Parts: sequence; structure tokens; C-alpha cells
Amino acid sequence: MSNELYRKIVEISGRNPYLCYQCGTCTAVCPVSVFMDVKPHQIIRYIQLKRIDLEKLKSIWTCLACMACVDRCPRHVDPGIIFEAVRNLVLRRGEDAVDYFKLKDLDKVPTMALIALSRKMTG
Amino acid sequence: MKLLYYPGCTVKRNAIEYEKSSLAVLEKIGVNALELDKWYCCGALYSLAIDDLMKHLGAVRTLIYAQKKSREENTRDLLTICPMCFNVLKRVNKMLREEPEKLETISSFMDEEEPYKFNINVVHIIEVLNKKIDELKKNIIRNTGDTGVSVYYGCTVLRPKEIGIDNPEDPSIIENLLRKLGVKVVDNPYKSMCCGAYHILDKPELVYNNSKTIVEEAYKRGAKVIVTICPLCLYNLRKTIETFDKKVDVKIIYLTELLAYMLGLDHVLDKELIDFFNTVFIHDTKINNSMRREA
Amino acid sequence: MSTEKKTTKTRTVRIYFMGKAYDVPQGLTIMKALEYIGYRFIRGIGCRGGFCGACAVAYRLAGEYKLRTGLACQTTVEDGMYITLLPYSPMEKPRYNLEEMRGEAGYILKIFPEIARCVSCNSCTKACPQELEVMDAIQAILRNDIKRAADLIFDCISCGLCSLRCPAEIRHVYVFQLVRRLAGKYLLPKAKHLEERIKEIESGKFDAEIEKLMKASIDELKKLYMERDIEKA
Repeated sequence: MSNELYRKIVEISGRNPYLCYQCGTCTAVCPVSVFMDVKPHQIIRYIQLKRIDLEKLKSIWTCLACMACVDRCPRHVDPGIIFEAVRNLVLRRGEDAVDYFKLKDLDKVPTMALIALSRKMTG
Repeated sequence: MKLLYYPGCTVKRNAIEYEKSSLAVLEKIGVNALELDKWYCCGALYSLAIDDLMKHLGAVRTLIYAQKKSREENTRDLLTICPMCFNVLKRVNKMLREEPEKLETISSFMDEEEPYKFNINVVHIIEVLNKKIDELKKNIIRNTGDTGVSVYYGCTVLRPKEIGIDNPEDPSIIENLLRKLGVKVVDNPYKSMCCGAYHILDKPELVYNNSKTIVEEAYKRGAKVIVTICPLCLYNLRKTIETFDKKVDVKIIYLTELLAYMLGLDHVLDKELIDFFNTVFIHDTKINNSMRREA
Repeated sequence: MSTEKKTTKTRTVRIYFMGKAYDVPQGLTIMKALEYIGYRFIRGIGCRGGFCGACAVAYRLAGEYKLRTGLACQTTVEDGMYITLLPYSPMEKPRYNLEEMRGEAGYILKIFPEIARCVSCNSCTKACPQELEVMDAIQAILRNDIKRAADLIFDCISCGLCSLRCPAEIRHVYVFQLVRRLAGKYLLPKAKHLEERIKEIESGKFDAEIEKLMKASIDELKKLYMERDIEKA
């Protein structure tokens, strides 16, 4: 199962997780890593080990695709792009990672926020 | 100078003042922004999955409509003011150019549209303003005195570096522009740190945390005004200030609102905002008087 | 009847419905063809004139991959046509109070946030039997141009075909109903004559007439109906 998930992550992201040498740059530059229980470089490590438990890797939903890690990854592993692939493993089953009706001020926030969230967190 | 113009959903709904001030400033410096006859939601965030072509459809359709208009208007530059639209349109444009086989797949699905021929160039308003700095300088009728102004870039005009309008590690394009116009710029090391963006909907505490860092740093360094170019950044920073226990005396505005004020384009600004500007900026009396005479 | 008279044989076409082949007379609508086969419509039928939107169908033509859509009462059968009925698009009826709303996109997005999932694929527009610019209407909502959205979908008959095709799972039928209501209530010019007529009704101007009708016998009503003031065909 995890082998299959690994294969899919590589296919969707076009990146090679094995190039990562765990320097931790991604975690250091991530503006939201303090809100992640499993940090960006740790997620990549889990993927390298093919221990891909989607329940455990929940911090992929905190990633905002701000590209801070992608711009700075010295090994072009590009964690932000790999996280999108992991999100897609869930979203492509038709599942949502948020409940629209629990969102705050949905009618008042700029439309772009709702569109961005819909693209990243609904399947 | 003629440019094609793509406004974007948010600009038309939540950031009307941004559009109004941007277009007025551009007009003043001789830039004619022609809104596309038809355009679609760009998707706000570029899809990073390499096989998710469907998510690019809105951007591709928009590029095709820009291409149609570019033939009539004889200009290939597509202007955006929303940084997220800029980011998505520019990245999709780049992706199509580099991977034409993907465009082929998309085109065979969109059989109702003409093929895209890669002849559109996506630009952000900052790049245009920067090019026309002399025009701006010529038309300034108000200065901002000694009042500190801090710049907040956000993410999407800078990253990824392949499409950014400036060095993502140490952007200075807006500061340089303001400095040339005589504005006292206050640096902020967090000027390109993510404000939390769309998590304002599902994890507002995350946004409050990041935006607090951004606002407090600017405030601590003496800024009275923070200028931004993104409707979502502006919303998030303002929302965050509302959560502060101790009121901070700093206002978040669009860069183009400040420029409109400096250019004397009061008709596109709220009275409240003009009052604020008048109080916060101590003007050079000579400039003020000459402006009064004109009025 | 008469054996001498050579009966002209009706030309037939072969259609497929729920896995079975039927030969039906050429030139029938899908609805009439299904009735010819022996089906009796109880639901999924209405005006038979292309206005009520109750009889949406999807079909494929011989040798084509395209999934076409239409109304059973308006689409004629073709040889080799595969047909299914889609008379109804499943979705919960939303509850809202128009008085507490405004003609602003936020009120629509709050009930139908999935509008933000639109990827501009155009499937809705392709599916619309009324040939409306459905995708453009959805996009107009996102940019808060409710008036334009209402304008674009004015001729919507709520058949639900767009909602069934939409990859973003947008509930167009109810979205557009709300769009029309908000536009009518908050954005379009008020109909003065209607307001005056409502005032007349409320002031009791027509009470006596209604009272008279309520007491009339069936025959009297029939007579009144036949003699009513209406443009003759």
C-alpha cells in the first residue's frame, strides 16, 4: 500500500524524495512550521521510508504553497510540491479536508481566499 | 502605453478601491489599461500537481481571450494588479511555453476556443510603475514628509523565483520606487513572509500569529502606514490588528492608494482615507501651496 | 383495413433504452418514442413544450463519444441513439430568508461555497439545453456581478443538467434561483405597476370579484373561462 502511495506521490509531484539529505532548510524557512506537528523535512523523511500514513501526515493541510521551501531546497526535492501530491492522494478520492460550513466569515473574506482554499482542500 | 488588463474576481468584489486607485494612477502616468472582454477565474493558487491540467483551464481561457484582444489592440502585455492572479497566469503561461504537449492536451479538451500561440506576456502593476518612475515623479504634488511607510510584499509576486518580479530573498523594488518618490521607507525583515493567506477561513489563529509578526515589526520600526499590493494580505493584516489587545497606530492600505494621494487623485479615494493621509503625513508646505493654487 | 390499398410502411429508427433495443417511428421526440414503446410517464414530464425542464435526458449518437444532453420533449430520436432519462438532479433545497440578504456574492457563497471550486471547464454550458452561458454566469457570481449572472441565466428552466455534469459539484439549479431572487429584489429596477396592483389587492379592490368566483358553479366557471379575454390563436 505505502509502495503504491509512494509511486503516486512521485508521479503527481515529478520530484524525487530520495534526493533529500535532511538539511532541514524547508522547516527553517516554512512560515507555518510552528503549526505543524510533523515538520516539512520529517514528512519528506516519512515518504523516503515509505511510511506514508495520511492520518499522521496531517500537517500537509497547514502548508499554504507559499513556495518558501521550494525556492530554497538545495536538492530540488521541493517539499511544497511533494505536499501538494500528498494532498492529492486524499482529494482525488473525492474527499474534502475542510468542512465549508465550519469556516469563519466565509461570506466576508476576499473571494480569492475561498477559491484558494477550495483548490487546496476540497476534492 | 497600452496594456491589456485582467482584474480578477477579488478585485471586482472585495478590492474595488484597489482597482480604482490603480487605474487612476496608471491613467495619470499615461498608461491605458484595457480590460479584457472576457476573462475567467485564474484559480488563485497554481496547481502544483504536474498532471492536474484541469485546474489550469481558467487561466488558459483567459490567455486565449487576451490573445484575441492583443490582435485588436496591438499589445502583448497582460496587466494584473492582484498578485495571486499574476502568479497563476504567469506560471501557467510559462508552463505552456515549456511543455507544449500539455497545451495540446488542454486545447483538445477546449475545442470551442482558438489555439493559444504563447504570445501573451503577464506583467504586474509594480513592474509597470517601476518602468514609469519618471512619469510618477513628474506628477507628484504631495509628499509624505517624515512619516514611516513600510512595505509588505506577500508571497506571490516573489515566489517561485522563476516568475518573481524581484529578488525573493531581499525584495526592494517597491521600496526603491517609494524612495525615489521621496517617501521615508521603514524596512521590515518579514516583508515577504506569508501572512497565512487562505487559512483565515479555517485556521484564523495561524493568520493572526503570522500577521502579528509582520505588523508589529513594522510598527516597532516606526511605520505608521503599511502598504500592500494584495487584497488578501490587506484583509488578513487588518483583521489581525482588530485582535490586538493594545491598539496599534498603523494603517494597512494599498500601495496605489498612497500613490493616488501623492498624485492628487482624490476623486478615487475615500474621504476617510484622505483625512487619514492628511493627518499622518506632514506636508512640505511649498508643494501643498502649489497644489492649492491648482485646485 | 383495406387489403388492396398498399400501406406505406412507416420508416423506423432503432433506439436503445435501458439496455434494450426498440424500433420506433422516425420523427418522434424521445418522449413520444418512449410512450410508443409502452412507457407511461408519471414524473419526469410536464409541459411537453420545452419550458418546464422536467424531462432532461442524456444520450449518445451512433459512432460518437460525446455525451449529449437535451429535453425528452424537444429532441427527436435518431437511428442508433442510446438514451437515459435524467429528470432530476439530487440536491437539498436550501433555506434562507431573502429579507436578511443583499445583492452581494457573499450571501450566495455562504450557501453555495462550491461555486469557488469552478475550474472554467465549460461542461455546464455544453450541457445546457437552453444554450445559456452557464459557466459565465457562475464566474459572474465570483466577481460579484449578480446582475449579469441573473441576466445570463434568465431563460434557465432548472432542468439540472449542468449540475449533473459539473466536476465542481455546483448546485446550479438552486444557485440560479437565488441569483434571480436577489437580482429581482435588490438589483433590478422596481416594477411600479406591480406595486400599485399589490396595493389594490391589499386594499380589497378585488375581494367582491373573488367572492363571486368562489361561489360560482362549475358550469358558470367553465363559461367564464371560455369567454375570458385572451388573444386568439
